[in-house]
Amino acid sequence: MLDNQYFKKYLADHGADLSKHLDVGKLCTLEIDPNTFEAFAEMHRDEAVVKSWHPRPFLSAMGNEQAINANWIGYNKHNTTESNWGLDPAHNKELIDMIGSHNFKTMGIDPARTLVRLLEYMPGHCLPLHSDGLEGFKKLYRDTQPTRLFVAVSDWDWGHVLQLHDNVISNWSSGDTYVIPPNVFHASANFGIAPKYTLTITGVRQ
Amino acid sequence: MKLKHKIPEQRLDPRSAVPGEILEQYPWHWDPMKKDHDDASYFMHNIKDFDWKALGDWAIRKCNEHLTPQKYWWYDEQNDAVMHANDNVNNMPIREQALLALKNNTHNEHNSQYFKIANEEFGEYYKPLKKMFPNLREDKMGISLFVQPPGHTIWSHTDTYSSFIRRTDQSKADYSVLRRYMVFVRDWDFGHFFHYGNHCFNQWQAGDLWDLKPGIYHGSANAGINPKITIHWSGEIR
Repeated sequence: MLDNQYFKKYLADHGADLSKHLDVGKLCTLEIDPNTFEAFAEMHRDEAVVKSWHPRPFLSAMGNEQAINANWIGYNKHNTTESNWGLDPAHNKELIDMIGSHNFKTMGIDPARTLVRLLEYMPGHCLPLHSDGLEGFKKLYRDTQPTRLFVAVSDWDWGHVLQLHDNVISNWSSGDTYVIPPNVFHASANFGIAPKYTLTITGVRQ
Repeated sequence: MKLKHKIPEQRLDPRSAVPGEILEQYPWHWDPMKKDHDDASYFMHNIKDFDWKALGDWAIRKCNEHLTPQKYWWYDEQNDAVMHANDNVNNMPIREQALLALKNNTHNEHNSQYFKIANEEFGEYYKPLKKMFPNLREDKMGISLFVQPPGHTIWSHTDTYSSFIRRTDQSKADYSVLRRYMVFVRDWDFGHFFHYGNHCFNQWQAGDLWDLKPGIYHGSANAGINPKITIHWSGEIR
């Protein structure tokens, strides 16, 4: 039914082992207004990058291998579509401003070397298991040691989830922020009835 | 991919789509931000005296015989019909909840598929599985096993026992005597999600038994690489 041998091998080759526990704790809670981010998405809907999982010429070899493995076991545009904003430098700047310098201070991230992306996942769509390539950030700043943060935009709703290795992150409040450690496999899903809005903040710790 | 509809500006309230008798008989908090809930208290125990691995392996082999998920949800726009695979379920109590997920929303036939093995299809497993819950009437019981492939979800809902109603030829369910139990057939794995009310499951073990009391909103997803398998008993309490 499911020819997942290649994905399994990929995980094994990259040391993904659920028998080993990973401690994950909340880093902080940002003071943000979810309505402004949701309004931003609506206002800039026509400028969103709409993507789903498939190989693309500008991804790293690792990113493409993950996409191929995901496609091979049934991930496609019908279940992995994401709308995001932030790759456009004007959007990035606006999102950084919306987050505000006090929140960057809380996170310990340099806003001048940050890529913020606002992600919208509609119900029925998920982000398949993967580890981050950070291609967007590296293209902008060429810094090889950035930190990737997950920020919940809206208060938690039923069916909104994130998995970081062997941790399920849920029941969040708006602004809750978690570090996604490098090379840690993670996944998320929206099986509720409301859109899921989150931020990924990739930046350099100060 | 452009949406075919606008995103609702106001929050959709799933409670409003749940049949009134369920809300009356099984009051629940209906607040996703409630922290002091007892939604995790419906875990019963781990059933150890059954070979769940053998059942799971058998189920996968059975799915592999035809490779076609039998179940998926979609909205038939032309006929204003909620469809569960080929079944029009407009007359079933799940309709209003399904509309929230399917009509002007993005759950559809491409992301809600699952394989289903039910009742007599269990073959030699049927008898021992039927005897597992002696508190359910054998003549008013349905057993179904779901294999959820990666990339698919079961949208959040409260159970309305539509399949049970069809199977037992009842025109209406008496929720006061109905019960559903669920067992995870395989251990938790990467990307496997299940929320029961405000409790999000993590690292379940094969054989973990949950009492899915009516009236509590729940759903599941598989964003991993292995199929997620659950088995459910639905029936009338003796």
